Amino acid sequence: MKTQHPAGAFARPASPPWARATGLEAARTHWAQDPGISRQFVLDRVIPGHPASVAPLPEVLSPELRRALESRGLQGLYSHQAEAFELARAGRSFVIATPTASGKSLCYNLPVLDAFGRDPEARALYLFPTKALSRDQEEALRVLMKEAGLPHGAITFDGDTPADARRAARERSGVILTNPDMLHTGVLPHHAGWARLFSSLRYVVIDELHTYRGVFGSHLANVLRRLDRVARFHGSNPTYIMASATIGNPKEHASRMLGREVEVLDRSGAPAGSRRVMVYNPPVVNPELGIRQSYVKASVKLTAELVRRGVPTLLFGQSRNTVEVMLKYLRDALAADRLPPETLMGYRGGYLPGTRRAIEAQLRAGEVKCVVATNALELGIDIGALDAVVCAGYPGSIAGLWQRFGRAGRRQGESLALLVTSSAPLDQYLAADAEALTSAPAEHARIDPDNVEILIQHLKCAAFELPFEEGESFGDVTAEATADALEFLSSHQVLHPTPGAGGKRVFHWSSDAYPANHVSLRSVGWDNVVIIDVAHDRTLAEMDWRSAHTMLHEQAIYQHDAEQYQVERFDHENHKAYVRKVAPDYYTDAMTYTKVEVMEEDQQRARGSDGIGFAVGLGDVSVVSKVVGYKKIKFHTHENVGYGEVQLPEMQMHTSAFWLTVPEDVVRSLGAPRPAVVEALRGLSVALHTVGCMGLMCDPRDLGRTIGSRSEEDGQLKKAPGGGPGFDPTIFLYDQIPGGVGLAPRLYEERVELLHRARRMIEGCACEDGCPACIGPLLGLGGPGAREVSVAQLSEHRKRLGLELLSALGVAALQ
Amino acid sequence: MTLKRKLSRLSGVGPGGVSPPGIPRAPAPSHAVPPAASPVPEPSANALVEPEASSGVGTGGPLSATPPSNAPEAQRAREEKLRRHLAELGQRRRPVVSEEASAPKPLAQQVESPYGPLWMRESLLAEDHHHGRAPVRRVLELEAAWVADLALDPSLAGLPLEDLLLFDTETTGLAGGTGTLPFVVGLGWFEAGRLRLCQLLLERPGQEAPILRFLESRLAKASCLVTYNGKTFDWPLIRSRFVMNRLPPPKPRPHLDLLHCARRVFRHRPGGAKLVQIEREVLGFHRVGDIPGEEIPERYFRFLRTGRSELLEPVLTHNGHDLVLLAALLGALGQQYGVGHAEDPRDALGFASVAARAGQPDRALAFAEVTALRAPHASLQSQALALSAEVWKRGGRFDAAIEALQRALPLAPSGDRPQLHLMLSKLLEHRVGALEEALAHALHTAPVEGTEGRQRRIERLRRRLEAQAAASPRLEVVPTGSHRRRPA
Repeated sequence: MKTQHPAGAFARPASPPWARATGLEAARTHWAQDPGISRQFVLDRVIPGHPASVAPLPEVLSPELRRALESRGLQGLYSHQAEAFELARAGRSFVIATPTASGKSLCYNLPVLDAFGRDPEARALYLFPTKALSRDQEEALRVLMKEAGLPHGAITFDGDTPADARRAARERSGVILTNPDMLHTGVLPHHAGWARLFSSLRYVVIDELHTYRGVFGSHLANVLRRLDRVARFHGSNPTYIMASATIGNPKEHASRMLGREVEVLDRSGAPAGSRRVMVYNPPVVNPELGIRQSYVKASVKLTAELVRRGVPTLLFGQSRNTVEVMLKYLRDALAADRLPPETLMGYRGGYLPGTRRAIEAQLRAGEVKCVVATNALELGIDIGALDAVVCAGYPGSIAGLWQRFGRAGRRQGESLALLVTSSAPLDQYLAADAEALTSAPAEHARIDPDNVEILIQHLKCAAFELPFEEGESFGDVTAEATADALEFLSSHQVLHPTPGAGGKRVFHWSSDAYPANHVSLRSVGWDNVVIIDVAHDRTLAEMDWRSAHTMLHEQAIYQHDAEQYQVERFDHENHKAYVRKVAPDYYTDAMTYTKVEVMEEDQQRARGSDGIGFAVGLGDVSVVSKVVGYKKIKFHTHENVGYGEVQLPEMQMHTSAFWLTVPEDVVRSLGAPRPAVVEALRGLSVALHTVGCMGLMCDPRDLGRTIGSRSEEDGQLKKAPGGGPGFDPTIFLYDQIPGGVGLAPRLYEERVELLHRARRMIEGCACEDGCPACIGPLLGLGGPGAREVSVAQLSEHRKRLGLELLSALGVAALQ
Repeated sequence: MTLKRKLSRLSGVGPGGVSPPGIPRAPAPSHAVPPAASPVPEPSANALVEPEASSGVGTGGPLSATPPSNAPEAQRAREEKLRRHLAELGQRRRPVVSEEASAPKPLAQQVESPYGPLWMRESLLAEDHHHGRAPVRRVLELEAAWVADLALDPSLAGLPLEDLLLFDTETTGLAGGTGTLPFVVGLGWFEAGRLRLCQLLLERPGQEAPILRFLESRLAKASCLVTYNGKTFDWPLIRSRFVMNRLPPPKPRPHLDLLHCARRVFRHRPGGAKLVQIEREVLGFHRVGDIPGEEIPERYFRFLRTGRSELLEPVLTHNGHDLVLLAALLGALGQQYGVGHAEDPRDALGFASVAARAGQPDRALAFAEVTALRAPHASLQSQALALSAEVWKRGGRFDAAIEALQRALPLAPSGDRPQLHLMLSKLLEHRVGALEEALAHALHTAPVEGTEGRQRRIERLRRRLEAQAAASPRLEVVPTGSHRRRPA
């Protein structure tokens, strides 16, 4: 994959090091001298570092472990590490929530190894969200164990573990490192073979807790309910040690995950170097439409300067596509500087594990100067110290932003954390009040372990593992609710009740299926699509099922390691995409059509309640989305140079939604063409989505938004805006997660405040008639299904019409 | 929103589940399965079953079969008594142990054991019982050393074969894991030259402990466990059942897994070691109306829901056949190996390689010769000769090895020849010193050692030939080492 470069003089940078000043300071001076750049910085603030707060090594520490630590030069612990040790030793479960690089691993390794020093039979289970993290930790643990003379061993147990190592893992290993998926399908259903682990299980370590939110987190909470049950059967009651990156609610999240209250440690005793936080808002190029210069190009320009000055830099992109685009641009930009292309690398989820390991190693060794990455690098993979992090676009959450920023400046000295904002509403919201960035609270991680779709699947798995006895509860699911679910499963004949001891019924698994194999923790299909390069008949990469619809449809340009491939065939049934290398001057962007249908209305308010003219509702919906076509976007100019159609089946999801219906008579009363009103309503939905995400402090990708139409009479929904008169246009905001995680109900509760905030936001925006920061750009300019109504007709007074609509519905401006 | 309401909205429970009564579901092949909530026994099939007093709880029902319709008075009286017992059973939700449960021609009998009540079907086969053509008691005529060779497991050598324990289970699934139950544990052992079959049936989940403890007691008496694929499947599953029932897992016993033996011996038959095929071709036993393996789990679940014990009849028959098959197959394999006569020349090659691996060169050569002379395909013959050559070579008989290889060459398919040429070239060069001949064979070795390897070999041979010619230009090469030419 790597471009071969001749060794020798030509491979070196054209200018000798002394010809150009190097370092962060030099790059900043360069920017300061260019007014075109310097005036776009909307924030430049140094967050001072702080010294370490240390505590001596605990007295009770086992002597071998103490000697091992001391021989590493460790005379004491950071205060949070010492507190963690105390809590763990007392058998109290807790979550440690301190910043990146504050020595979190020692918080769990220390009590575990200390327990090993006392009890040769003790066992611990470590969970990491990815295989890569398990391997890293396995290595670190083994070294530390060897130094401490502990024979317990640590083995990573995942799909790649060879058979003999699997046996050793079951029978001998002190620490089993695995991921939730493997625990779910490979360990718990075979727990009898893991009796040694479960009967002596002292600690369960869950690292990167913040990644377990939404569906994945709700699944994990259920896997832990099962784990607890199995451990209890084998006679153990493990203490949980969890570690999380910055989130707004570590204690609440961890408690919900475990189904019981846990302690939190969130004061870091680790020292930190000072960090310069900067925000760059690209200049406006079209004031009328509020369109700014491409943030992708701006990010590349700023990053290129850092790389030229020899600053090791990490550039984060929002998606796999942008990562590849930026990598290509960056290589183009730096070609003139004679930087070999392999010093600039991409890093994202689809890369094969071997490639990723190689990049990590090169980054640590300093052979790679700059890595362009997706959030695959957000997790605690040890890549050493980087001087600068550039985020191309706001990652959607404060927590995500700080996790990325945390990649810079792992040690002493000043580092740079730079955000380049895009035209998207949240980005512009941040840019407008950039000062608030440094003090903004981090988002909450949300899970719903009682999501019925998820719960019922795990009850099946749990019954397979151990029969349920009547009256048994399932974690924090009450005995009554558990009984209902067991009856339900019995009526579907996957469980069979038999009389047991003491007259209680016992529910046995009664199917020849292996339930865990049919339950994916990552949900909505963890089936991967394999991407095959037809020219060389080799596997290029893999991609998750849902993303494949938007990125691997036929004719799509698939980008990999800054190379372009065209998808020749997408074998939907067999999950394969066949691609061939091409050299186009464009890339593709899929267009998705989404339809929402109400399945069950849980709550409703007729128009007029709460003084609002909308009829509002909350309930379960079916969201059907379908990729219908794609746009061709030209490289560098980002012009739209064509369209194509895509034939793919729909994807369906059941979730919860909050909706606002505009009664038909209000639509008519506005005296504007109906399509214009619908466009105004669409703008309003953008604003509601933005303030909704802000209020919920959630990742905007977790909240879906669409416009539908709802007739009150028969509950039927019709597609809008094509729907004829008589159908009430409706805004839907829904949990972008099957089964929902509780976003929509919160919006329903806060509906009045939500509407007023949206109004304030629209009124407060300085744009003329709608911009990406308020009601969004006008959609549907040409393309398939281009509307007959002229663009001018739609765009005219869109903002004014939106405000009129709000007024007509009782959402008046505050005086 | 309560969980109950959410549940009512779920469309299904996913794989393994069926829709509850009222919602149409896939019909069973021949019997309509009554809904779980109201088991309706078919009077003709199971007159002894009272409808459950409490709905929703299937106890599995009694396992005895129907008495004949012209039952005598005494029989009726017993029936009455049993009805009363069963009514109590419904109320107490506990199994009733009663000697009356053993009706004529029972599916299984309930027996009291020191470990609790067991549902058991027992039979003692006649001394001259055959499975197909194969006499079952032939096992008793084997020497343990032969069996150890066949299994490539020397630890089996000294074991008394009359004390072996045949073992095969029928389970509620093939995936393994703690939710898979063995519901038939089939055992077989010899008693005074006759094979006794003992099949233990799980009356309902949760009643495994007596079965496991009974199994353990038989294991303690056994010299060796004999299974087909038991090392991978049945034994680990049984071990996990001990853990699940909080019983200490039994001590490991010597274990002869015939799957591996059969694979080695029958590998040259198209179709390999598929059990039904071996049973038909090797033992001459044709199963009629055998229940397909994939239907077995569902049979048990239907039995649990309906209490219709006759559903399990084919499963027990199937398991019984499998047990007898184990004995017959071991007898057939052991006897052919022991007397050194394979019934099929293809199998002779299998036996030959087993013997070679077990360190029995004479036996290996004898078997290989049978294949070399009588195998239906030239390629098998050449494989047998190549094996002989390997055995000769290991024994230091290089001349014989060379001769075998030279016989093999014209018989071998072209793809196998380079390997034979290479073996010949090496033997001729290093063992015999026949450099000219070695060179001739070295020309054909590229596909196995690559062109570079071949080139090195050729160059070395040429150098050695030149050196020889220079040293003694007029002398013939005198073979060195232990080379003796056999009379042709």
